[in-house]
Amino acid sequence: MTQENVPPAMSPAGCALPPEMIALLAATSEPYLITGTVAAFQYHRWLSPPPGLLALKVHASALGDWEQMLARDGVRAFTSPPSQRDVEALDLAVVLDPTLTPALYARRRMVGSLSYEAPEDLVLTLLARSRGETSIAEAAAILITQHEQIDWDYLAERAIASGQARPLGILGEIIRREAGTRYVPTEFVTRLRRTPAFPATDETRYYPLNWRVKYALRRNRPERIRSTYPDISAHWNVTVTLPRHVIAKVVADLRVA
Amino acid sequence: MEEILLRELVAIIEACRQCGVPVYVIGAYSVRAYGYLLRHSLDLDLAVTSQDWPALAEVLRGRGFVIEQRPLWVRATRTVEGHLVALDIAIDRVTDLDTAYSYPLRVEEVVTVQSPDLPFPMPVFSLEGVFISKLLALRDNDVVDLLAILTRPGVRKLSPGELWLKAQQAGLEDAVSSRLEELETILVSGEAEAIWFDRMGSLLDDTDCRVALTRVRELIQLFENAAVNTEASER
Repeated sequence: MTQENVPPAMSPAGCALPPEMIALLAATSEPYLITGTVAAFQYHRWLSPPPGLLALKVHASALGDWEQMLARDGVRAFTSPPSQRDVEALDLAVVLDPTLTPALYARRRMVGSLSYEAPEDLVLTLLARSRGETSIAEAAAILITQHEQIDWDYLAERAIASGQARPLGILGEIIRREAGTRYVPTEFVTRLRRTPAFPATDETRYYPLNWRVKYALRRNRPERIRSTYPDISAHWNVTVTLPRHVIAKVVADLRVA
Repeated sequence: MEEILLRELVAIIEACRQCGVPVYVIGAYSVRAYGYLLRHSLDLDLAVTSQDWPALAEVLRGRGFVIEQRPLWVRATRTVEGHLVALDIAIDRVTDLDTAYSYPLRVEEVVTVQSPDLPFPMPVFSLEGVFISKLLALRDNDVVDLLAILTRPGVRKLSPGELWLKAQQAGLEDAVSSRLEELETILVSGEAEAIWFDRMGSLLDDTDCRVALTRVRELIQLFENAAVNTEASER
């Protein structure tokens, strides 16, 4: 657990949690990590998390305890993502993700009395759950704002072990292109590039496999899919389709280029 | 941070009102003005005509903003209580960087809307203008906002007829029509759910998805019929 690496601007006051939830989390002895967009915002201070939603990583064996602990007026615990209408009907919807491990917990960052998923782990969580462009942009924003604190060796190891070397390596190169080389170390990208290539399926041929790509594929017009970063595509034997505006906006908003 | 942004926005709008400078709030806060914003946003976007830009620039400089010209817009920044406040200002046209689709301000008059959750009325585009500018960009945030406009009650309802008129006045009938078809694809293919989950962390309700799809298809049909009628009347 570290506290010293957390920038001074990060305080629990900056998060959008109701005070009673902060008090509950601060008081519990049950291990948890705040993850998802609320955690991401603590690190990047860029994209506001959606209102009324909190994601917690908890031990699988403690799910029942958490559901009980969170049963109160206006608050409901979910073990799978709630519907938007559910979120709007509550003061707070808490999504319990039972993938907390002792190793992840040991790496937590304390902000005030709250436990947050470490930025390296959170970046991988965001990339793993990414289904559009937002999570990728948030991962980039964390890497840019926290680049001096990131444990790049650990991040590379975990990315390789979890099969995320390529998306993370591509993102690293894009950040170097859009924001500057000082935000992601050269050795980090080189190391990820050495991981064996995946078999070529649509899932691995295009990154990300977004609606624009699917739209063209469904119409049998793959020639209309243009790489947004041709040289980075060549490095990774993949067609990078992340629109340039996605990371460019992060960079412009964070004023780092 | 949001409080600071809102304070700045109020002050700028008020200063513009006093100087008689018509300024439009666009982007997320215009969606919010109509009561459709389901997400939070720290982006402040304004639009102004080139004729009124010097007066707005003066207002901004007077409040300590530093103005920087970007390719398709102007960025004004200022630090307030340790937080960076950044305004992106479109001049004459709201242009999407990727597609170069461009919505001209000349087809809009300032509409002042009092949102239920904002303490002051906001000068914005018509709801149809907001819808078109979001549709032309069609990024993840825009998809979320468009689906909210199509499925939620809001301050007022989208008028299909007005939407066609605005698109026609802007000379964007084909662009809007094509973007509506893309939105239909996003909804049919399940990508809307993916985008929604990625941005909102929640699942898009099946009912909302069906309602949105029905409305999008109605709009596509309306645009097809209107295009045929326009062609016939021109002959």
